[in-house]
Amino acid sequence: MTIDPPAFRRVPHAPWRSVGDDVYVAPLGRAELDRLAGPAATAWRVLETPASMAELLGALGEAYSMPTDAILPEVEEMVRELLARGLIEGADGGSD
Amino acid sequence: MAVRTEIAPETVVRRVAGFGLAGSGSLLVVEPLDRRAWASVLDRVSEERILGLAAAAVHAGTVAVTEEQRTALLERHREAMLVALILERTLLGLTDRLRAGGVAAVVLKGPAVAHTVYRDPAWRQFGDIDLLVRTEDLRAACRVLVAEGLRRRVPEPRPGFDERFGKGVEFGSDGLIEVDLHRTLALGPFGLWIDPGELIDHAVGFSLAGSELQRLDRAGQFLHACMHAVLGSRRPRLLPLRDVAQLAEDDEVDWDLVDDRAERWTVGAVLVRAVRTASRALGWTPPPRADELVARVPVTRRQQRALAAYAEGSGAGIARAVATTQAIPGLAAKTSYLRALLLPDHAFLAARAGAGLRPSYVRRWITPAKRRLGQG
Repeated sequence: MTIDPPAFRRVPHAPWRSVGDDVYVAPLGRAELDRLAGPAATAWRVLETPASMAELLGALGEAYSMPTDAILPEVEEMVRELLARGLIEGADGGSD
Repeated sequence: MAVRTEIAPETVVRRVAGFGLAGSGSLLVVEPLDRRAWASVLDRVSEERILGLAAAAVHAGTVAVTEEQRTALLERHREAMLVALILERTLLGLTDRLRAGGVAAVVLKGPAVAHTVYRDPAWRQFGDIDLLVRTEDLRAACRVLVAEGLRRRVPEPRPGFDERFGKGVEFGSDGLIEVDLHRTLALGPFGLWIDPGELIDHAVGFSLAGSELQRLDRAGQFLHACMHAVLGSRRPRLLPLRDVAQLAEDDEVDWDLVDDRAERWTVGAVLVRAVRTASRALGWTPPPRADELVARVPVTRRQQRALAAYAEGSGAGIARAVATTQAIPGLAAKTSYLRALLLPDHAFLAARAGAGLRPSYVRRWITPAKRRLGQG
């Protein structure tokens, strides 16, 4: 299953902090906060500027010294989860 | 400077508070502190709310720690940042509601300095939200906060006290949300001498999570940091002193404007004490413009007497009340102020008395005298 938006970005209205290697995000409209660790924290940092799936894959592959085709399924699942939690959105402002 | 393990924990804490400042000497703790010394440092950096600076110093490799010590520090830093994030999310909602209610609110301290002055907002923790509103908007702002589910902590001593003599109104929730709604920057004479309306007129925008909020201009932020560091608690805390140093090193500060306000608002004594105390406490050398300000700004005997009223010690509350009375213009206003202090409303007395105690004027008048005798 493919992910529709051609590019992604962080949602703009979510306060966040880096603590150690992790990132904590407080999305608006929800009571809880999210902790992003490992590749999810890296993805958050990469998506400071909009990036396509291919660019995100490339950045994560480089960060973890892994071939992109090997990490594609996990990265797609992670992106879906980030979209579902309202932490990232399509770079045009949509989430699908 | 290489420092070995016998370094006093308090020295490490103070140098951590100055970490990353251009005017602070470099500190290198080359070996992890022993268990007892580290426990002391960890407690003190928590108490002084400088966990972010400690984490940054460890991350930079200037303070050596064991893996266990690093984990313990990061856990406390994480907790502090979760509080900051919850407060920021609340702040975004509150400023929206205040704007919709026609109230212009300026964000003070915490988020405003964390996001605009510090290298990384994670360096600057905070435990509440401080907002400055115009005196004429104070009631409307209070209504907005109540509508948002917050409760006023202590009732007004007498009707009209808040707008005439108060610093502002404190609100809280059942959870960890604390909001200080200010109409001026400090209790007592210095809070009465400054012109908060002018500070609001010169407020500038800053971005927090994509939203445009208002903060004081840099000169105003520096002035407020100095007032908070010196007047906000009996013993100057390291975080407000760090704010003083951090702002003094900021290129955006208009020192001529600081000079001008300090003279017009007669707060020179506060600025001088804040910069000197920060310098001593953090082992920090102020930049030349701050040094020049300290050497040049007029400090009168009246300011020094007022400043002494904020000093630690028995009877400080009475001294501050006397200094405030002297700063209030007009006999009728002075009388109103004293009447509110001596004969406040029963709701105020009850809140001050605490649970299970009967509100009593006598208890309010006699407690300070007993305390003085006890300390004598």
